[in-house]
Amino acid sequence: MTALVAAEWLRLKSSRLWLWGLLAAVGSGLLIGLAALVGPENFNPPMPGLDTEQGTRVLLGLLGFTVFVPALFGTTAVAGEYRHRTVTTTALFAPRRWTWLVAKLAAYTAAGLAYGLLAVTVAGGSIFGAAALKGVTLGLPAGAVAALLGRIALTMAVYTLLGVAVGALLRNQVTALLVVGAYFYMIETALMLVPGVNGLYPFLPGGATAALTSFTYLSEAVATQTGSSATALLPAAAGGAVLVGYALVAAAIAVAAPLRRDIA
Amino acid sequence: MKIEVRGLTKTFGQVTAVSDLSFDVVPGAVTGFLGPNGAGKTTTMRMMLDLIAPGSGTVTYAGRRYSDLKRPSATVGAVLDGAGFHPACTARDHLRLYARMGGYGRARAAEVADLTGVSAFGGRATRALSTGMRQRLNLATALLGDPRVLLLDEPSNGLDPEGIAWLRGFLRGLAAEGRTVLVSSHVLTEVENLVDHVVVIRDGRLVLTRPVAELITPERPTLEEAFLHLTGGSP
Repeated sequence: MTALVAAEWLRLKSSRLWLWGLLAAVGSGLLIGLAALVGPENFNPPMPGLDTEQGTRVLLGLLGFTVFVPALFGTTAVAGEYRHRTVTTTALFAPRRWTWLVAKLAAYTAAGLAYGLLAVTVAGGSIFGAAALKGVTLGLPAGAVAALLGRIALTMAVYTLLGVAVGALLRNQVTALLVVGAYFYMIETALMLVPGVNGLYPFLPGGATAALTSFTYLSEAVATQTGSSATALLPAAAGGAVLVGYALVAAAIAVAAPLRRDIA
Repeated sequence: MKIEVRGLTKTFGQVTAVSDLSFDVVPGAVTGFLGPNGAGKTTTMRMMLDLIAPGSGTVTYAGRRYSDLKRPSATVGAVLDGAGFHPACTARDHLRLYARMGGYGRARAAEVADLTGVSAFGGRATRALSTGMRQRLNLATALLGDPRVLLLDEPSNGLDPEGIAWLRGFLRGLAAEGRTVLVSSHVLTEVENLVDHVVVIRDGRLVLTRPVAELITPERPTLEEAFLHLTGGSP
């Protein structure tokens, strides 16, 4: 198993996927820094400033909103094997297919965590830097900011794993990427608009992520638009537990999906 | 190491690709797996490697299924039509990746690259490789585990005459070392001077399995003529 995980690391490195991951992580972190520099009070619509708790939470929540990016990398990791037809050679070297899927899950969960740590480090540094430049004190204590950033990094690892599962299930890289992107950016948000169905939102990956990162802006904005009351999110710990549940189901799907499938 | 194929059957929907196919592949010889396009050669080879699950039947290597071998890639190496490479990966990295997956180390990757001529283009991204170079890289990958058995599906596809001659000598050398070599082809002139035995299939069924020496007669002095006679083609 160690050899298979090491091989997946090498695949990540030699396929240049790591370089795109690096750029995306640094880019999303810097984007949050740029938003901090502009200041939430200058957003359209204007929001509470960086020196308020809510303003700081909005910025961190925006970073949480980019968790679908590492999910796309996880999807690419498996769907790319089918697209480039390397799956044949991989299955020849590891014919007990669950072994290479477990290796992929392990390697990409670690890669997702590395992505998350890099993104939150850059974002955290940028937010503190922007606050210093503007001469304001963040609305949340440094410890609370660090804790939220840590949760976002963990969430990114979980989403990478979810992406691996989607890739294993759908195999077609373009379809899988579209499904992941559309789900996180459109379908969950659309579900919040449907009365009755929106009660499910706290238990969906996006809702659980919002609970874990205390990012309520999206549900509140939808409530404002629809004139309804905002869907109550789960407590942070429960949100985390829901995400872990998704991770376990995703891991089971990723391992089971290719077992009986012909590789033609 | 002997390969035993017994009662192999596979259907895709209403189409029977392979039907009750049984044959042996013996060590120390090159066996040609011959048949026209669509005869079921590729499906059979993929079933031999557990890439496609047979509807019924078994394939064993010294009594074990491919997936049950202790180190499959160290026992059986396979060059399959359609096996691909990540386009951004260099040929050298591709070999190192699968060397690591099989637990063989970088030195072995360099060794097979030298053996197959991949070293000459090792630093090139696989997207820039010619068909012949890709075939060599596939062969190098198959050899990483120094396997006792080699299965090759249309390995001369895309090779120039020089490459085909090189491959012929290479595979003859492997058989001379006592390895089991099975080569599928529908181009009989290419395997004419390569194979010792033939397994001929048509419409997924076995036509014959026999040493080449028994097929060639004064009336049909070439493998192609003997094959066409046996499979109902002309002359």
